Amino acid sequence: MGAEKQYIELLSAHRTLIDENSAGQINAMRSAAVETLKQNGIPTGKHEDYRHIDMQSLYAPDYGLNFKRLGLRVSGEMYRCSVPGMKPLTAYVIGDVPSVHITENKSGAIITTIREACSAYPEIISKYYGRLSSKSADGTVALNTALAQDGLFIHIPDGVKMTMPLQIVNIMQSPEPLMTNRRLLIVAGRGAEGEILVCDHNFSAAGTLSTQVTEIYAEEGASLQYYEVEETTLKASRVASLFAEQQAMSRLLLDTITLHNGITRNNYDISLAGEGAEIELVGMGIADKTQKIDNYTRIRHIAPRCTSNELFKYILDEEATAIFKGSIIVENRADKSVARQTNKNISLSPSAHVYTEPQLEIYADDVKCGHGATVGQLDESALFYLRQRGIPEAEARMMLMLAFTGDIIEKVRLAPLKERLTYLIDNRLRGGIDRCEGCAMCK
Amino acid sequence: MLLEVKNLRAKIGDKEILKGINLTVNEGEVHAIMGPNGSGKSTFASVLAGNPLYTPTGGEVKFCGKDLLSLSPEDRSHEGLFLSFQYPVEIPGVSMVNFMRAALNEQRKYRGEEPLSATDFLRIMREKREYVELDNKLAGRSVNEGFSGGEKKRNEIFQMAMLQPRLSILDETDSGLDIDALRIVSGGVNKLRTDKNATIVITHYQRLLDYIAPDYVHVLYKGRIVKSGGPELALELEEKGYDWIKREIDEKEK
Repeated sequence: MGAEKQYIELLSAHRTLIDENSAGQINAMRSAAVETLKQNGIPTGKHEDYRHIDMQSLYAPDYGLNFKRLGLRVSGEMYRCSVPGMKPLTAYVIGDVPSVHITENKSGAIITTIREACSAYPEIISKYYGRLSSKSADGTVALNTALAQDGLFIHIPDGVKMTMPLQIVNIMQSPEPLMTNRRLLIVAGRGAEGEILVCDHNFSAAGTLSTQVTEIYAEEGASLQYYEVEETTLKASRVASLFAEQQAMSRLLLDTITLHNGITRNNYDISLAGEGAEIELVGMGIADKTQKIDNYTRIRHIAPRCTSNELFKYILDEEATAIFKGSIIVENRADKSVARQTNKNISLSPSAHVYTEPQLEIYADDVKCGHGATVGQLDESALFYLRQRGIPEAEARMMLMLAFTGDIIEKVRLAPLKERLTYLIDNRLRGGIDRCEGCAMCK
Repeated sequence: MLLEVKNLRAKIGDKEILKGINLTVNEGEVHAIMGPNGSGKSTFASVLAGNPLYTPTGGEVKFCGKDLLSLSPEDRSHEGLFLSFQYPVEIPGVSMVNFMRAALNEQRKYRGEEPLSATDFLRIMREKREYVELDNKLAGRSVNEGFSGGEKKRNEIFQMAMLQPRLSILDETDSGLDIDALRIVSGGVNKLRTDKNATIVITHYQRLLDYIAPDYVHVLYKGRIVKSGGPELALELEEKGYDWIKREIDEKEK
């Protein structure tokens, strides 16, 4: 047995304490998850989807866990956002303890903790919580399910269009090595619309591991934008899995941006289950020093006439490593599927590494699928062109790198976030962010 | 004296292409450099502009009294050297407006001037666009992206108008131009001529020189200027081709 051993032991030693401090439905999933974990373990380097990242050592440290749900309070006031023209609703997750203080919810959505939702909306919780994630054979998902105690629940009822975006601010602040296990459940009803931004911040002096499992259910005709921005530290590890199931004619924009991190593994598992569903899956990472970003995506075209559009871009410097593996599976009845996948990378240093791997499995006849990947340096002829016009080399490089991220920023539909990201990326590329700058929508 | 090139030699990789060029350009002058393919014309332009692909291996270049070869490409630009590229580079994601604003403000910074206000900058853009009848839509796009051949060359001259260089090097600006575009582009160049600036026109053909009248014509062959003369030399070349010059030089070398 590998790195999972200490967690399995911890679970059996503290099971009562954990259960007493957890949401009911989360407890109900625990035993099955432990079994999956025992069976599959934390992936080793032999696992074909985890070849370039060492998950075993990510889980190896002797992290503390906050089973009693104590301490850790960080004043939300520090991170209050004020963007002209937009006031998002804000929910905080401190460590893995969600806190929602939305007194007057004008957005039309239900935003609460899973624990509260277990009593207030038991039928929704039991219908959706863990339905997608429990099918996963991934040991990291099972471990999260086994250790999770609470999380955030967002429900946009049928026909409701959220009038303002929701921002979820994840804050890690721990003097000791800490592991947190976050859960997020998003249910968008028929024809529902919403915009959600999740910001990951880390103010910890010690090493941390935050795991996260997100489940998104988009019912018929729902339209959802989901943005994730990570701005953490070199000592932060993140293992996040997002599952989405989309019914007919639903539209989902998933946008994941890693601005600053330590080691990050993101899994995106998308099921296009209803006819005419559309997913736009966009990701970008900027990494230097010894940072590592690994995005794994799997899109399953199950129903006919679905569209998936995938674009991932990395800018790497120094000793950084970036990994992109994109799997697209078109099942046999999914005719008229359209799937596009693009991964483009700029490597500024000879000691940076990029691994890119498309994987297409097509079992239907009438489909349009395409993929492409490039790894390169900045265009030297463009660089000289800019310099000839008087733009200094460093500035010219900056312009070209910003230009490279341009189509990623263009995908963002939330205007204030677009503006803020442009600033943050510019700042990051200039070496400005060595630590967290505050949440992505703060001025 | 604006530019003084003495015995300039340069190589790309291990291959020596410029083998001792001498050229003097004064304010108010137009020099045409002609010559057969592969003679080193574009290399000469690139070396003057500081393209890092080429390494100068000997000789010296004085530009407004300064040692040109010791300056970075951007500082050569700030000093007033402009290269109109034979193949203008497409730069997706960099808008013409941001590009030109950055270029102009860097030039001003170098000269100790304040950056332009947004209104002044846009006014200048509007004025200079008219020199080459450049569509406002093009100015709103990414640098050269999706521009036709003619639009790219007009865009080069537009940038020249924006930066007001002391010395402009036009590297085969006529290539890929139809007769209307050629008229517009050379019209732009002529409007920008003053007795304080100078132009080096690199071309294969006499055609461009009908529009931009040179004071001097030089023939570059095997990395050297092998013949210089007045405008009549260009006409002679148009009529007789380069073979007679090649023979003359190749004979001498034997």
